[in-house]
Amino acid sequence: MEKTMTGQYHVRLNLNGQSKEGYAEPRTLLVYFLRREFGVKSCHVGCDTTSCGACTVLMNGLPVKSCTILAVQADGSEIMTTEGLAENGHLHPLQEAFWETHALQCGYCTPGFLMSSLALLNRNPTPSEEEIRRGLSGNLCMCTGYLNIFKAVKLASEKISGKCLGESSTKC
Amino acid sequence: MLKSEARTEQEGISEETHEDSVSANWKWMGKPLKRLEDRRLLLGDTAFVDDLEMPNLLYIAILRSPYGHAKLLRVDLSRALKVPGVVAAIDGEEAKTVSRTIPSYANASLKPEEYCLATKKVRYVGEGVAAVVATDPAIAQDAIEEIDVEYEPLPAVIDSEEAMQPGTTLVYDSFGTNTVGHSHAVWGEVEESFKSADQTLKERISIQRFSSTPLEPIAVIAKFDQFTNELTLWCNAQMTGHVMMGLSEMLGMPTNKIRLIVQDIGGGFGIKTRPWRPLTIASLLSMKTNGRPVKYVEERTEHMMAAGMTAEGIFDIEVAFRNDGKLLAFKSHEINNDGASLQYAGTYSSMRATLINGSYDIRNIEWDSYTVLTNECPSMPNRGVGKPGMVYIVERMIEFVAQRLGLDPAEIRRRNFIQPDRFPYATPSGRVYDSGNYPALLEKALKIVDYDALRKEQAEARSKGKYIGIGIASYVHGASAHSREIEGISIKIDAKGNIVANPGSPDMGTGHTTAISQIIAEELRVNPESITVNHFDSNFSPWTPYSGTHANKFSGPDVEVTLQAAKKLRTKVVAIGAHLLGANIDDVEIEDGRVYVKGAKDNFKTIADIGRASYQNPKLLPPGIEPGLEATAIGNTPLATGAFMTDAQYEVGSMHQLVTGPGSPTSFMTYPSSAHVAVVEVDIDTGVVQILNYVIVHDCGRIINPLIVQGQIIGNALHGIGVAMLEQFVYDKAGQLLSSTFVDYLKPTTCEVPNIIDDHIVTPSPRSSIGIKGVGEGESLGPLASIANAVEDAISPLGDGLRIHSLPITPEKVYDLVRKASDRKSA
Repeated sequence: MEKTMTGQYHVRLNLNGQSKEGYAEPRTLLVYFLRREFGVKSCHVGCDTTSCGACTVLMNGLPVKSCTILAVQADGSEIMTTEGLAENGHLHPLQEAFWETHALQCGYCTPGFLMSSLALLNRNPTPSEEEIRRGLSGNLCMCTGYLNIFKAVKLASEKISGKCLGESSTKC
Repeated sequence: MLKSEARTEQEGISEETHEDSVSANWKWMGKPLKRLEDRRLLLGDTAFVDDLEMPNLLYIAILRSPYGHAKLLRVDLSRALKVPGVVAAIDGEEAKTVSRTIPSYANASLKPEEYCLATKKVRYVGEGVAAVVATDPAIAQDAIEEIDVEYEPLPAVIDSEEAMQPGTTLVYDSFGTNTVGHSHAVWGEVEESFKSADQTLKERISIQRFSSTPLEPIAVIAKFDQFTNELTLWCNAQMTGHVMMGLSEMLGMPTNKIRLIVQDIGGGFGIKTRPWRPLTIASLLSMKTNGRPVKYVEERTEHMMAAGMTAEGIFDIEVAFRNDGKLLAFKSHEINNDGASLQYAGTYSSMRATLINGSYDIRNIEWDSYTVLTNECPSMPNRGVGKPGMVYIVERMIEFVAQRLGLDPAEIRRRNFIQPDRFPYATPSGRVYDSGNYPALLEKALKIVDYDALRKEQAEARSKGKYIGIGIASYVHGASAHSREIEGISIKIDAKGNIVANPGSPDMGTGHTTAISQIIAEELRVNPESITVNHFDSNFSPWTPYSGTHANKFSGPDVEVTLQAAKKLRTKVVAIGAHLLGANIDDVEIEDGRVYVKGAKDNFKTIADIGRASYQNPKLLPPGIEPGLEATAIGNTPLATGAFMTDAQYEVGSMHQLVTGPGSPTSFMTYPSSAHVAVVEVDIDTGVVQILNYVIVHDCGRIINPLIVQGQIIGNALHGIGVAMLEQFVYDKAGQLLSSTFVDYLKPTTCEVPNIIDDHIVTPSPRSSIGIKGVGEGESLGPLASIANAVEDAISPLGDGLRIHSLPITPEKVYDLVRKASDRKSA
């Protein structure tokens, strides 16, 4: 990484499949770098202490809390945010499932839950409720009471594995 | 059953929805429609305040007091102003010259010396001392480190009982006391009842300071236009109308020069009702920087220290009862710790009095409540305000009586319930409950847990050394804080027949966008998905001083005015449609976005045709019908009872008069109710409590959207469970806040949420034109008592009188109780 005269570093990363570059102070956190440099609105700051997970993004496929990673640490990495979930205007099965099961209310924590859920399903395509609980325990939601989020992840798992076809069916 | 299988939401919501002829005829209301606002939220395409960017934006950082109580001897901004990138700064002394005091609702006779930033003294950790605005948020943070402040620390007063003693440290010297409110009321024949009772008991219980901690902190952008003198604010404030009125006072600006825009709100729960301090600081700093837009986003720790929390309550309760379990009278002597501001002092206390007898027919009550200031964070309304405390008092008290008498906790409730044939029921404190069936609620909940079988399982478990407990809470809540709150909405059908609504209250994740669309769709017979519901913008949304999303009021005035405006439009659409068709009004019908001649579905005019005629060709309109298709409704329902608030009651601090005074308008519009049953297991070796099962049966009348209602029920219940088991703001003696992050202020996570089963009954409210009641607050009230009752029930075999006196019920507290019991036995 090059350092500029003003003490900033040139950070290059891949964001949702696109090459991006920007300048960050050594102290700049990844979440603020993503929000301010690239207009990524989905990663939210909810706690400043790595407790709430509203800022969760995937870094090289692993869920990280972007408030606890420095932008310079993300140099050269692949970052995926909620903006990268939908394809050609079609919602990802996880987004569909969250919608169908009413797994969001205010929506502030939702992108973080989506990314943590995606990471969970990537490593465990058919998680039990217990595994979903543990897999999402780094994310806080103040509105829903979580139970519908568990249902959503289960439904998404079924949609992805092909058991459930069609957006409108909430019964599968 | 110890554990019930989780039921699908279809099972949970379908049962009673179609039982009555009214909701059976609904086409769009009553249906579990997926929320219309979700697609945008799921894509991350949001408009939370921090998502908004604009040219020349500056960022605010606030220097906050590290002391609980100190004299502010000197604030010097000069070094901070020299930091490159800093544009301006302000301290309390300057703010005092350009803005007025923070509105207070507590006690009209006391004049608060409280501005948006501290002057002369700091009174709680986290109180704002000065604010800096800079080109970058990190620079603003750097700069507040350069502000020189000289404090002279003073002794802090934290304990509310100590705060009441003469000669104690005063939070506000000019008041001469920390006890800023006292209300005393006697309803019925209390002393006589105590004399004639078979038995009496006395207990002290308390409720801690907590907050529902919306995940998005408070945030605001202010932009002052120095040429037009207009101030535009983007803020996640809940009470749009109050903010307009209050800010106009604080800034000395006419309301038509203030434009408030409320877009996405990341949860509110009351804590965001009126964020006066950030709003004022941002406004003043935009004015100071020649009208540049300035943004303030609270950090989590700032939110925990300074955004507001509930009042602490210490309750000395005395009950008089008969040997058969009939409660005759009770006294509640209360001390409320409202922190270091008059702003909401007394709100918790007064709210409790409105529901003082709960769901029970108790006619003799003495209520004696003190409101006390301390060097802690000011109180703010939080989900239910005083209602969790009130339910806690009544549902614990009845449990204590059951324990004393050896009566089953379900049976004692049956013997005291207000019976379903008693509605409308006038409470001793002058409220009138609208409708309900409290025995049916409880019986349904007991049936779901299979109560008798559960008691047998409990006995068996005990014989094997497993400590299972069952706890009940069966109670009334209230919706719409004053019976005659006024809300506004305008609905427009444009020249292309598209429908847009501008409500006076914001959506904060509460599903109002969808619910409003369903109501309009029902009246105008269009697909709700075709309707646009706008965010709040005071330039376009009809707002009243009551406007906002608070006090469980959506079900009241918001729904009523939406119905009224939509009906007005429907009448006009049908009249124009009939005229265009050359038919009589009585001979046409409206359905699927068309007005058609009855029996001739292909002879129709679309709403677009009608829109076009209304705006483009008024000659086509029937005589007497004006061009345009817009309707605004401001008001409530004529079915609501109680008095309107007078200006004096509304404007000034008279919380206590509102409760006890004649013609009190603080009756709720509707009275939803709930029965909760908690089943817990206590590990007596560690004190850890595990919730095995949690059952809720609620009655919010008819339901507009069962999916949204169920979401409110579960999410809300977890708030109460968190308060019962985890959450507490802790201050040390110097006034230092020890739980200012989610690391030490514990929220329930995915691992703590128990299996929650919800179901409902429907007793339509006669005060709502569609028979609904409020739903957003009720379920957070019950768990405080149901879980405390269940834990006591679980450990009851270990000894008599093992009592939970305070919340949260931590493993330490339970472990201490268990140890006390075993010490007693071995002695």
